[in-house]
Amino acid sequence: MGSYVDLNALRNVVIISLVAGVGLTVLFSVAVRALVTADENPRAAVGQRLLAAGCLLLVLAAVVVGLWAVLAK
Amino acid sequence: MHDAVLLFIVVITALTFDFTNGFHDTANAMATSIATGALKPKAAVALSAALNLLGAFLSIKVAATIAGGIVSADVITLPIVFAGLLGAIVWNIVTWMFGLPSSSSHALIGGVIGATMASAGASAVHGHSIVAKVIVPAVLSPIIAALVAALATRLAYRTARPDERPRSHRYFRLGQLASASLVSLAHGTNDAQKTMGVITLALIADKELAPHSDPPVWVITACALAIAAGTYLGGWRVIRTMGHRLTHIEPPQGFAAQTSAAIVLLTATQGGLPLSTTHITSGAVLGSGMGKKGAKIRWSVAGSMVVAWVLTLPAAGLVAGGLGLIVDNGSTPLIVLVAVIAALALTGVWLWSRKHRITAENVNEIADPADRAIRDLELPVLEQQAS
Repeated sequence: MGSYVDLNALRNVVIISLVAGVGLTVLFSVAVRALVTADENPRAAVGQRLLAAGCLLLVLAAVVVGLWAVLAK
Repeated sequence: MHDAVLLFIVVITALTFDFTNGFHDTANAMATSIATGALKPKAAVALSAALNLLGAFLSIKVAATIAGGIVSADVITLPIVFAGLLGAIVWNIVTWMFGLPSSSSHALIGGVIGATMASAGASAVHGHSIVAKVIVPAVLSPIIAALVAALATRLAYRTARPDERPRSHRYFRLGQLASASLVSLAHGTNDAQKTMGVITLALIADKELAPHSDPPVWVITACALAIAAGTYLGGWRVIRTMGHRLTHIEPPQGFAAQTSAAIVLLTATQGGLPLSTTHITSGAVLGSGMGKKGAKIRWSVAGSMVVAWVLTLPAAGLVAGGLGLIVDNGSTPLIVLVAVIAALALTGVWLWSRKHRITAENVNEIADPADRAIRDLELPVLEQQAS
């Protein structure tokens, strides 16, 4: 198997994909939950919207860094 | 004059392949967004086309790698490239007719292998490279993508609880705009470059370019426009399969599938692992079905897809090999004749397909009772919660 595929590259792809793919989806989901809570409960809106903004900024930063890493290689 | 005509035919055939590549692969980025209503079908293909166009200009680093190491470079001639491209186009059209997502890159590689074998024999094909660059990635791509998407979907449902709070679907639909755009961009940076590589190889073989040259600007521009035009026309049959026939997709699933596919694709590109966009996105859609509790997956459709994937290399290779036997060392008029016959045949297929048209207007209409059953299993619950 090792002679047919770069096992190091494969391991990196699996680990990074799992961490980034799952991580970004979960961060976005946290943002969605916060936004829905803010919609449903105006008294908690500011805090929830700040939480959502933080999560979305993190997602955006990760995407920009990821794209940069791929295109600058 | 002889080589100029032949070169012109090869360039046009390569751009036609690029067009079918975009046409076939629109589903990779946009099927789930269209299925969940995140984007109107026409807006989705327009966005995808624009990002494919942009992606094609962003990087040219894999342009010269297509078929590199898979066949001996010194035996490649213009007729071989022509036959290989035609084999790939035929396979793309056949799988599009059946609405099956299959890898255009594998079709191209299969075509080049078949034409090379017909012309120079099996010794000109490097079996180890085929296993390493095509077969192993083909097996790994959907598995990795499905694993990531399944886990992402499961956690997205646990975190946002969209089943209890249907309002969250609206936000996931917005998220799909970004994740689908990312897949389109990644597709443009990968797939348009393969055709650039083929045309550059043809120009080098015809001594129009020095060996190891980068693609000229006109080649990059032409390939970018061809893949964008194909993407814009939209392979609606494949979009319907990916968006509706594998499993019923909800916005959180669509977002998780597209995000996972984009991340796996970009990470693989970064890591130098040649994974197929089609296999990754199909695996991610399946994974998003597996990750949602109670979601039904039509394994018969998934099975047909896998059969198409297994057949891609030999089928494109057989067609290209047959054509290679005809055109190898043939005169230019013979190659022109083959090109004209192929163009007529493909036009005939397109006309035949219009009898059972799937378009932007009806792509989300589900005609098959079995497909409807999958959607209907879940829709009443959602509608009840939404009300």
